[in-house]
Amino acid sequence: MAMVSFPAVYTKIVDLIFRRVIFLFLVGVVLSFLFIDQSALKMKTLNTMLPSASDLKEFIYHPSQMNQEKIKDMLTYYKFVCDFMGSDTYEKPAACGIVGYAYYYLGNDKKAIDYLSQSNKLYDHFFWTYYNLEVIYFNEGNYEQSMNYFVLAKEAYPYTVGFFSATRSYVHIAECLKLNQDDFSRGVDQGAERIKKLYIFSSLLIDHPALKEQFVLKKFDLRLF
Amino acid sequence: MTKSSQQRSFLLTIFLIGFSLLLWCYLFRLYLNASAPLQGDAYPYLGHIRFYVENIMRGVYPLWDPLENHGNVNEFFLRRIGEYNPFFLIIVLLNKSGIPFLIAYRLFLVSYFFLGVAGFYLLSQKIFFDHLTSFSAALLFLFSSVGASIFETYLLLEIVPFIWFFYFFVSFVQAPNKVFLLGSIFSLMLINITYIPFYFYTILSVFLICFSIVYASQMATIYQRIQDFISHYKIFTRVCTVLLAVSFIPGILWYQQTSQGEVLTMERHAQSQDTNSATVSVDKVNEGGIIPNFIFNRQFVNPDKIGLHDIYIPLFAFLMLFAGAWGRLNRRLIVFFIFGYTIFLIGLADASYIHRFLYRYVLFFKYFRNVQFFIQFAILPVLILFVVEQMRIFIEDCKQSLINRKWMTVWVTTIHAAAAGFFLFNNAGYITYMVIILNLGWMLGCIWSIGNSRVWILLLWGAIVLQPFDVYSHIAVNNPPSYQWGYDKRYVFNLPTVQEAGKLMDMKKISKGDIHQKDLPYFGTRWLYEAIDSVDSTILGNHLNTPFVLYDRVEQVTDKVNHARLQNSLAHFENLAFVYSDTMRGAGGPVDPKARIITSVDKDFKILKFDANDVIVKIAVTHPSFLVRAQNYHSQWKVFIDGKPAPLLRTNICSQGLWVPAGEHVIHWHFGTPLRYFWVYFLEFLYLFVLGWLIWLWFHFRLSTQKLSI
Repeated sequence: MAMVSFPAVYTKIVDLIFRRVIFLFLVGVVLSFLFIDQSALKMKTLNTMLPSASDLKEFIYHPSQMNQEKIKDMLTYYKFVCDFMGSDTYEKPAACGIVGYAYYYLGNDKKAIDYLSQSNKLYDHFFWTYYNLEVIYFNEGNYEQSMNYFVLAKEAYPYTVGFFSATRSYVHIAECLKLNQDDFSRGVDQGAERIKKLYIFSSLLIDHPALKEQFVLKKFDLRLF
Repeated sequence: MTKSSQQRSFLLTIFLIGFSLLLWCYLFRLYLNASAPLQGDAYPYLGHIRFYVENIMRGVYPLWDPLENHGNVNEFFLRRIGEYNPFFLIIVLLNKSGIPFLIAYRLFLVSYFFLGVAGFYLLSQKIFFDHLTSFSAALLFLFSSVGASIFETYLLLEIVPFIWFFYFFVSFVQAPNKVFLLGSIFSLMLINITYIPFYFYTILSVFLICFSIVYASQMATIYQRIQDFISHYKIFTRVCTVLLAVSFIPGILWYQQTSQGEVLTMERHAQSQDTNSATVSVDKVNEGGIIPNFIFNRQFVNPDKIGLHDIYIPLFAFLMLFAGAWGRLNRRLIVFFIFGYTIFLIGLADASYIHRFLYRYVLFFKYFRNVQFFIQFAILPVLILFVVEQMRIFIEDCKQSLINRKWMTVWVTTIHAAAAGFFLFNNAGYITYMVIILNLGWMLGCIWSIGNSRVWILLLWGAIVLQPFDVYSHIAVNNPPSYQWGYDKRYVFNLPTVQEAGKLMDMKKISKGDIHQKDLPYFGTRWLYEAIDSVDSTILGNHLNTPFVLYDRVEQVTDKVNHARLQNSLAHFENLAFVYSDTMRGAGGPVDPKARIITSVDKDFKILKFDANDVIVKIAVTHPSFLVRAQNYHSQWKVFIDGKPAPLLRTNICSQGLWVPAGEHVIHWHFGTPLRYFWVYFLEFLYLFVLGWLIWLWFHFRLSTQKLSI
């Protein structure tokens, strides 16, 4: 094979790349990094998608009666938050937890568990992600796993209330629903009582499977606070 | 290709464009026959245009809008619509010929949009000198969201002159001629009378900079060409300059109006650092802006859910964009790219460093928000020009065998296969795949020279039109009404009945409405905002909906008045008006504790005439009385008693009041100065004249070019 001289190679490269439309596309990508404030753009994107107070209210208080399309909108928004926010922020675990919650009400337990577990990995002191995992496993009849999350939830309990005020997602929920720190605190206390019961149910069901019908007929709801 | 074959291809493209226009009308038929309601901003704009056109048809130039939040200067809304636009005559003519206003208005929207499509076709002709390219550009523009948005926004009123300006401007630069210069000037005149010509001037500045950089070597020639024209047609050029200067007058008058601070757009202006009430705070600007993730979001994922407000461009454009990525690069493409990309960056608002700089250092950037409109104004049209240029290069290279056929076949097929894979992943409908197949078909046919140009044209037409046909079939279903039909309100004086007046007087309780949580009107007088902020909404509403009230006593107050006392007095219609100027305090002796509401049965009061700018009444009072009219106070209102000027006083925070001497009198309220009326009628005539002149020059020009070609 004949050797190609340097100028010929150079000309070929110039011809192949710099004289093609694709070159403009590459320039566009590079310029985007130079002229666009990526963090401002992220915030702008998120602000545009911000859910309305009425939708949030329904999503939080009556998720099982909510229109599936609206739950999908919620999912899209919190997924964006989840994708946009860095792993070192409190925002990402909070949003991942809410994504898990949305998936559960869209009937996708597997994805719900994935996102809730992801939330746990990022921040392992949030009571409600353990609570929700416990409820999902209980509803599925996986009582051993459900009981495991009870222990983790108990450990996370004392750190939970402070977490709310550190996350924009929860601050927005609080603003829309006119909640304050006390409401969050009360919610966690009630949640603790509820999962204690679930723990007892789980242990009963493991020991006495015949009792299953009594509990499993009723599915328990997930909660965000 | 032989000449007759070329002619047949040309005729086929013209036929297909005509057919596409009909197809577009069919797809939007529910909007055309007014079965589907207008959406978003298109709805209030219908109101503004209707108010203006109906008044004009009655011979009244509406400088005041008595229906807008208890009266306000109409200048703001006239600036929004650009009232001197002679094309509004289409509505008048259709309406006069018996077509209901609402349908006439929609026919105007559509015909004006088609005028824009024609302009875009001609502009493409001037840029590419190729019928097939112009044909594709016009089709893409016709079926893009620019067309659908005419029923959702007001952008059409600006986009059409933008396009025609660029057509005339490019034509003038290529071959200076009187008709092109006048056309450019007339388009600029239309743009200048709209409230926000700043979008256009941003686009023009960016274009000129990009063009000058890329075509730097030709700038001297262009300059010389224009210079020669100017020196040859000195008078004509000067006349054009004067016309352009005159078109700035309405904008300047509006600027003066907003500088005086008598009218406010609270929502826009709140938090702005500037004293002029037309400025927009940076936060307000940043609420808008392009969100790149969402521009074509629906287009790719749920095209059948596309609504009037969604950005859309036929799938063909994206297929061409990527399939043409390996095409040759030329200067035209570079101009389109830099131009479109810069506008895109400006449209990002605070997410781009360029917009932050411009907002800070370029004065007019403080006067407009909604920078995302740049998508429709410039980015979409430039993207269309970009892809049709890619297409033109592709066809040219195929014809001249400048491509490696095998490699190009692999590339084009891969791009289409990738597109099919993407849509398969997103559960797209079968129409999408048909578009992909059609597009691949004509491109491969072109590469391997299979079939003739007319077959390619038909395939190309199918590839462009098929998806919009599917998308727009659902458009009316995807847009449930967001407004109720309501702008049928007419300007009438509803004087209350005796019973209604009695009820108003007997209102015992003052409701404790939280005055700070009231909905502020989008646009109002300064005093109206103050009244809303100070007085309970029910009490204020009772007064502002009572056209005339007579008082015996007045109290002179300042703006620091105790509003609780004023509110209490207004609540019970006490016989005391609050004025903000030095005036006589009222008749002596005992007076009735209650003010007198003028009712429909009062024999000593008669409305003789009223329109937007004038109200004339006849009134008889036994003793000097203070008459309050429930229209917002503005310094341009004047009042005459028996033909003689009388002082008009701001009363009860935001209304108009005057002293009426004892006896029978004719009172005439009149809005606007003689100079203002001179300007509006002069400009109305001028715009019509310039359009007529342009049409005459156009036919003259066409005739002379035809003679030359013979």
